[in-house]
Amino acid sequence: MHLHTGTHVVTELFGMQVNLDTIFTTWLAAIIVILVTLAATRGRAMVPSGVQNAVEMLVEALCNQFQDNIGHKYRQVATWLLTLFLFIFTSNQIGLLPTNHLTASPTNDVNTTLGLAIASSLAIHFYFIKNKGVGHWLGHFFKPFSVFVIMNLVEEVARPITLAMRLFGNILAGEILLEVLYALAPWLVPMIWIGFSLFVGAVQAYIFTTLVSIYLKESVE
Amino acid sequence: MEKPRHTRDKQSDFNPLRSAAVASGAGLTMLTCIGLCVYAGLRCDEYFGTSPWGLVGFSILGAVSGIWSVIKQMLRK
Repeated sequence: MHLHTGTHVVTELFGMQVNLDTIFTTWLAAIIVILVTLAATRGRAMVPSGVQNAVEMLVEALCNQFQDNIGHKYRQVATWLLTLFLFIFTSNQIGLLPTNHLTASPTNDVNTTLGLAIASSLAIHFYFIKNKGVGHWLGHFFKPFSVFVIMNLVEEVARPITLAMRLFGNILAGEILLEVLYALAPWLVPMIWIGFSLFVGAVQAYIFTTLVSIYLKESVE
Repeated sequence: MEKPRHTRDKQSDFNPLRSAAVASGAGLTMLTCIGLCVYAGLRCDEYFGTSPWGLVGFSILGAVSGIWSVIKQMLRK
């Protein structure tokens, strides 16, 4: 049995290999997020309904979570975290679309997840320097004692890799299993798994965003 | 009978999804720290010809860093 999940349409650009399907689905996810937020914010009503209602509920629930994790200054990073959640959530669901063409989730490509994780890691350092200055930023690597600097640096390198691998592994495994189940039992079983994958995609987006918000606490508080 | 206020607050603060996120983060970070350091140890041995001491030293560093990382994550409120 030949699995299609995890294989990509590759082209070469400026001497680098580029996964075309990932590029297309990343743009698709971004466009969907932009359209949904535009639909939710155009013609806002005091008593929300439809898309506005759904998006407001989601944003409110997430902002409460961010406030619990970060503290009262969570608004400084709320836009970054909400964008992350919406993008990852949409990306995770794209791979479940019932077509054979170019619909692998962008998050089943490690380049996307590592990009998101490295950007998040850089944001954590950016907000730390912005709020506390370079001196404090350098100093926090030497806490609680100077000898801990090596362990703190190993952790700083491990953190984005962990974030990226968790998301990538979960989404790739889900899509591989979906393909295998479809080959074994084309009717009922894949549908149940698609339902479960919808849930897994939401949970993974939530876990990624929650962990970034927990890491951001030290930078923002 | 109504529960005491402090018990009620602690229960309402508990978020199973957040706890799952933190726990999975801690476990995976430990694994990644060890993996990174083992890789660094192997490369170190290959480059400097110090086998097996690079691997031994970096493995210990990875394990200690992993445990330190888990302790830090568990101490975060």
